[in-house]
Amino acid sequence: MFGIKPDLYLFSNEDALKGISAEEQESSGTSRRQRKPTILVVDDQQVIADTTMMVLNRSGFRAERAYSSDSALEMALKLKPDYLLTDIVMPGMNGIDLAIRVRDELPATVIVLISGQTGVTDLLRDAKDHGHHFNLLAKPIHPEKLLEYLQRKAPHLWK
Amino acid sequence: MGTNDQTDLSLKYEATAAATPERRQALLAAIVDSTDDAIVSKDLNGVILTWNDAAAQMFGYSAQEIIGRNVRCLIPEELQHEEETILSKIRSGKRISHYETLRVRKNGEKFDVSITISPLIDSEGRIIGASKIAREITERKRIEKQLMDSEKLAATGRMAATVAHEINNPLDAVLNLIYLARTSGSLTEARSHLSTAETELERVAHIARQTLGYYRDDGTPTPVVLQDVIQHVLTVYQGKLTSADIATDCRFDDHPALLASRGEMMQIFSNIVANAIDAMPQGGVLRVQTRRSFSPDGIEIQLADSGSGIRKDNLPKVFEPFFTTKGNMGTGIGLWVVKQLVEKRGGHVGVTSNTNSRSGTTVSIFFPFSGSATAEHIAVN
Repeated sequence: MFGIKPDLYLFSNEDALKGISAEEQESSGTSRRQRKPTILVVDDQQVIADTTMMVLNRSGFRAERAYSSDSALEMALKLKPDYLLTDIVMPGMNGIDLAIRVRDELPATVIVLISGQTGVTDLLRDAKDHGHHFNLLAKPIHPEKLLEYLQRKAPHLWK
Repeated sequence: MGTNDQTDLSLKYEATAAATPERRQALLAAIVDSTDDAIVSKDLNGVILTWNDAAAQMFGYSAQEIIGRNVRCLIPEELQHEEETILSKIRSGKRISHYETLRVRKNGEKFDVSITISPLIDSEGRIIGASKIAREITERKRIEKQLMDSEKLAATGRMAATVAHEINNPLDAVLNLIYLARTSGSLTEARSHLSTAETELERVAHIARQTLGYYRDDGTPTPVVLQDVIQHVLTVYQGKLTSADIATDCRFDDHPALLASRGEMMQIFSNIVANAIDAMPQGGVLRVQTRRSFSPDGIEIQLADSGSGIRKDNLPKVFEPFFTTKGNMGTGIGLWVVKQLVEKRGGHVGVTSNTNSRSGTTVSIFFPFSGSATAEHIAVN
């Protein structure tokens, strides 16, 4: 299997690792116009979870990431994010089950599912039959399109 | 009850068309002539002695034209050696059942037949010749080919679904990485993102290269290293294996390349691996082993899953077309195709399974190094 762990990043601290620029790190203590929308990114493919988180951190979000549904659930309950962006097919609990649990506990969280698999429409239909409607995006998606989509889904967070 | 009724019946029989030896003879002759199967008899040198109407229809020779000639004139040039094998089996009192092969008509046209050949024994118990029953199976072969083609298409679709996942994820990562490189303030950081993007793209290219190569395959035999084919199939299915929590355990003996169609080998192992994945929805282990065999000379391959196994009453049916235990999800022709392709290559395949232990199902395949199926493969009763 080709290695996917990005070991060439030369960052000196945790925030930089997440893609938060030096200026933003400095200003994090002082007052800003508005709290940044928070988002939790979940994907078992580490390079996707990491790079998506970095893209979001660079674009006005406060993003965190998890590599599994179990750790995502734990983090979500603590973080209470404005958005949950999750892959569907993952080992252990899948993204749809995660989404259902999060919606239960955190009804205000905007949930977006994203997948590169072809068979997921069946899973979504099952969820729909049980009264759960979720937004689904297809991988691969251009980062700018993703940003646009997320802003559109919750415009009140971006005023 | 029983014997009295039977006595009555045989008394009635006295008055019928089969009552006397002459009438029985005539009746049997009429039966032979009314059937659609070609029925031919020959002596131990292959000289044709009798020839029914169906044989005349099938081969295009009238009885007058062919009786006294050698049966070899019905066998295509490249299959002449079959007659020796057939005659030697007949001389030793053996019967040949439903052997599928080619024969040639008077007009030169070759066609597919299924033949059964039995030794003819005289009243003293000596073998004096052979009787041959031939059935034309052109139509059945045509339908089988259509089935194979549609399964190839279905297998292609299944592969495409798996490949899509293997390609979509790296491409998503690459889009992110290039965006990050482009919007980065630091050259070092940008370089690092681009380097990771390169690795992800190489992964995509590898899968695309191999998989598209499979579709372009025209079936011509080339030297194929089975170990490479199996590993490639496992790479293509890696995403599915991981998300289903299936571990793989491979043990490959060093073995020479096999002269075979790479595309067909891919399809064989792809179908078996897909089945193994379906058998282990809660996870498990897929064990693959290849072993060099010396007598007979060839390669043995075993693929074992740790799934729930196949029920005893279903086991004899697994190679039948359209047999499936997967409801609407199954096409029922995966293993049938595997069998067709393995046997086409001169090999054989078997399945053992257990529903009570943890041992699941094991598919065993043997490929001889020698190329085409030889007369040794004629099934003998």
